[in-house]
Amino acid sequence: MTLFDTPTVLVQGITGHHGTFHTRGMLAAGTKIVAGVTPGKDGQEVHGVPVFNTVKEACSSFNIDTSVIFVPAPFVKNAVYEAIDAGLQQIVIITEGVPVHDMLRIRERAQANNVLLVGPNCPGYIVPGSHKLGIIASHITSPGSTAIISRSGTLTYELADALTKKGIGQRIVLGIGGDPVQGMDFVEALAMVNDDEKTTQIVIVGEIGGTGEQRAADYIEKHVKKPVYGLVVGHSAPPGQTFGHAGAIVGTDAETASAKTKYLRAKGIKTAHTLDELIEGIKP
Amino acid sequence: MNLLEFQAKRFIAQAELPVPRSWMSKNTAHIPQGIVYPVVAKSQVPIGGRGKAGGVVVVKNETELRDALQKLFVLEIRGHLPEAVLLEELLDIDRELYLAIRLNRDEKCIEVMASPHGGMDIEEIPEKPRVYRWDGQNTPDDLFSFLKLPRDKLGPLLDALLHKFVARDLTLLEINPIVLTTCYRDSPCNKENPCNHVSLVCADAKVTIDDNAQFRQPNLPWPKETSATMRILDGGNIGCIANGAGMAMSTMDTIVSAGGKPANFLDIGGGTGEEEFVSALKQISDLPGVTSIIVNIFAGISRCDEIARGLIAAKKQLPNLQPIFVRLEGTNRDLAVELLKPTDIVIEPDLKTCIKKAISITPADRYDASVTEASAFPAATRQDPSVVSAEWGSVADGSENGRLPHKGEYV
Repeated sequence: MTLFDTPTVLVQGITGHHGTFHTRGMLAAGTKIVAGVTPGKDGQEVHGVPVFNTVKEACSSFNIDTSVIFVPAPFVKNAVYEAIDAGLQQIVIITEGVPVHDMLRIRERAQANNVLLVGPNCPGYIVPGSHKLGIIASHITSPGSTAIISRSGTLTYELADALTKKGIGQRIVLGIGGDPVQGMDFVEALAMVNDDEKTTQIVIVGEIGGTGEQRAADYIEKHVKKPVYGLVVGHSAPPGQTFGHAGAIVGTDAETASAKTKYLRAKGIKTAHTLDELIEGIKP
Repeated sequence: MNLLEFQAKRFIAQAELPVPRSWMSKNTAHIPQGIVYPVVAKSQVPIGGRGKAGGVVVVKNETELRDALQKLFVLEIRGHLPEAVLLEELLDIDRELYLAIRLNRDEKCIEVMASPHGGMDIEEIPEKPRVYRWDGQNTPDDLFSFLKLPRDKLGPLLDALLHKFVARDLTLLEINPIVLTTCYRDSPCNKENPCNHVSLVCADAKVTIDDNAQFRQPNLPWPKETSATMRILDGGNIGCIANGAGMAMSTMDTIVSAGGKPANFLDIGGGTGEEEFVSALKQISDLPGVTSIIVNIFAGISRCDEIARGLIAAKKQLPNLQPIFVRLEGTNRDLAVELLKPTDIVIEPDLKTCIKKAISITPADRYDASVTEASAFPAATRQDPSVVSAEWGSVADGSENGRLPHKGEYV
């Protein structure tokens, strides 16, 4: 399964505040949501979507391939296991605050079962005009051929909005999340948009912490022929402190925004210093 | 969260690795009873580089200790003053090793790092430490031969530490050094009848725990709830608020690239109520040296009218608020414009304009120069001793005159 295939969706944690609110948004964006799961809430409906106690029960009534997870952090691991065990092929975790040791195990199990995993602590993604899995506001996006891959949420919205206003539509707007250990990382996301024929150019937005941007740059140099634009935020962040995201922390020199920017540029990626510069530089 | 050294050592001791016999001094006048000199006096600051900064002193008697405490309690190490000073027996060192367990975010695995040369900065170790990926089951033979230690000496201990690393949601556990010493207190011999029994002792340790695991690790010394996302930058004068961590970092970068100096990082997140917004603005307004504040909001899921209400409330409640420059885009911007019309709050066309205006306000416009200079640097942060929870023992409760319990006394 790829990010661009039209999914049939289940929402785990659908009766919660966020689950309910964003289920409406996803439905409005054209996403085919057929079921929701909240233990103990079997028989209820949320925006016309039937609620089940377990993923297994939902799957016995519908042919589901994807789950979007809004359950609270302490329950994320079991929710993901339940979805994988029920045979789902794609899982998007929106929840913030998942322990990193849980993510190690979730990743392992997802990989072993060939499951596409996005998140946690992310806005999910939208393929404008087709489907949305997560919380990205659809009215700021427009269908097109530019792919945005970002570690940040709001910054991504701002970028998508600016591109939309410039008349540059998006093939996909994807937030991979700001945690130290994620499901899909830059390289996996890049591989998927690179293989997608409808994507003509790519924008990656990184931040301080880790060396995912460098790996992305290596991958781009080797495999990506499409134009790639880059931005790394956090140039003014001092080391040793997290900046909002659990993963946004400078430990070593390679994890600074300036080291990453330098690396991306050395690999031939047009990398801006500020958001304005990036928006200005992207061509239709 | 980083544990202080004495907290980290309790952690290590629970995994059956001896830690040096120790006492704890809570203030300059506090000399714990029963000290066996010589001891090493170690400043308890939550930051590295302590030894180089003079935060570790060997003392031979009470007079020297009094001198050392006078100095250590006022010695600021990279912005931190100690909460306490740990006094440890001086170890008889045969050999020092480096051992660490860490979560590698790029490889997405748990690793053991080891070196036969411990006791100094890892960067300065002549022979590079070796890294072993942990498969969740076994530790490799090569690790033990590299450290020149038989497996039965270190193996069970390492297994116990690895188990604890996972069970307690650690992201880093570094023991540097592990001291090899003979005729130590767990040795079957004594000074008169040496048998060369080699003991491993943890002389210094660093432990970092995943903040996301707080819900299932209730007995650790978590700091009290604070505005976790606020970060203060030295010497800045332009305060800033944005929604989203990426937006906040991007705002800071844009200020710097325009020649300004951001004073802080603050992500107010989405869906912020009036009260939270006012308290966020107050936090920034109270920072010494701040001459103007930029509010940079792009409302995707959140709403501009909420922010406008927050701004109006802040103007009313905070009489000493610095000039604010607002950039507001996205959902319900029209409503926000309506709300702000009768006020003197202006929505600027873009972030660039906000920054330009903010830079034009120099410290002299607002502050008496002497006041600005005096308050230009925030006072060193002192950790609140009461944050140490019961299981970890607060510094104040210091069982037996502040002496730390030894291995096995608390499990």
